[in-house]
Amino acid sequence: MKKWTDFQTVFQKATNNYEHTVLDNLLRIHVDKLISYAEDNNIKFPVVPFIPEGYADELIKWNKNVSSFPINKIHAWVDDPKYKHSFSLPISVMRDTDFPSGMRQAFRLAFRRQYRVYDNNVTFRIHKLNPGDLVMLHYDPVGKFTRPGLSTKYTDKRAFLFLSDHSPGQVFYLGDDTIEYKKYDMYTFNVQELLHGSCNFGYESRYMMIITWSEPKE
Amino acid sequence: MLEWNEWQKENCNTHNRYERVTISASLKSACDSIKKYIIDKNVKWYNYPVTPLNYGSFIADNRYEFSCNLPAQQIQEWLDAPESLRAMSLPVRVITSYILPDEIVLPALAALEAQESVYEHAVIFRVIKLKPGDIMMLHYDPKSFYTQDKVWQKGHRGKYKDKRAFIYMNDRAPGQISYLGDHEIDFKAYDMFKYDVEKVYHGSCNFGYDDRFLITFSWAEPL
Repeated sequence: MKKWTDFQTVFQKATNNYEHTVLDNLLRIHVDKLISYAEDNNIKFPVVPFIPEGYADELIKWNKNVSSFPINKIHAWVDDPKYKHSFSLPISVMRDTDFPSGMRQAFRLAFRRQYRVYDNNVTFRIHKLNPGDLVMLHYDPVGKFTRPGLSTKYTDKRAFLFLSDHSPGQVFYLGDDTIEYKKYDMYTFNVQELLHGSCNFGYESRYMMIITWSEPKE
Repeated sequence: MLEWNEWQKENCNTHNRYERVTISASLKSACDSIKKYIIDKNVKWYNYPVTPLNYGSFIADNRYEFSCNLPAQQIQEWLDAPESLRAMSLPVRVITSYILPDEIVLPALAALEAQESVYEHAVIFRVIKLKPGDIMMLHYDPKSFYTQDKVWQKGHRGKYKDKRAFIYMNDRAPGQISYLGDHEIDFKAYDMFKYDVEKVYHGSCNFGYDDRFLITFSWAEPL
């Protein structure tokens, strides 16, 4: 996986570009509603491995940038046994489909008021990093909405929205930077272009919302 | 475990009291020899949990290990809290000086003694490897790591204080994080950080792709 990550740094023209904003009041209200709903209804965070079985095939299928690259090499890099343990560590994720459709739609509408979204393409998930959890440094694969032929019309965007203040032992990397976040801080970047990872060697869980959307090109 | 750490923070006169020390040429050379020997001979790393099973019971029964007057049951409940059990049982890769040959160990101990004030040659070291994906939760070290011998401890109590130092053996790579107290340490190879055992909260993790290699010296310093 190290070689795959190094390769992406060069091949995908990685940057250290991200934008920091603080969530506005309207979106805060909708985010707080989602959190309250999850707490009131005791929605569980399913635990899944960070890299599932067959991940290399998924990358090859969706990442048009590597379609001309030898498939065997991608498999060898992504499935490198040296890092298998690190990448199969569990992460706890709640998906937007765990929420009622009305609540999801209200969030999407509020989000679209603030951000430029192509064709209503907004999804989110909530990521809980428990004490002892870790997400290895990686680049995200292309966005969920990316389909061959459409890439000239939009850019895949992603934002990390922190739902709790930073506490000791919680570490978050974006590009070359360690992020000192507060609740409602949001960091936006182009999917595929920014290396990131995190870990929690403190004693309080870290909650973060990951929002993905497509932004129309100028 | 959170409550236990917070209790120590409030009651053990801790905090960010560590110092960065320049290591001597002989200590640097000895550390290089240790690292080279371990790599060349492919010495086996032992995987220990940060806290072993029933650690709370152990500490509760051996409270002299901490300067602590809490009821035993309280200590046990805090240390064995189920919500921290998984995190605290994550493995740490360790090689102790006991299993290395004298020709590697003795020069390192002598070099440390030449640089620091050591009481009755009471010094040992261990080597810790933090592999990609490894985590060491924030914690305070218990006292007297270097003296497992309770008879020795009884005979010398009140005559020394416990000291510990980390010597980093590689430059920091992306994803390698070390905390001492409230500080994230930006380390380079051969950086040495020294502190009083029990007094400084610390922890680390590695979510990058390179191993982090560190040597921990523990010794008694005469009062």
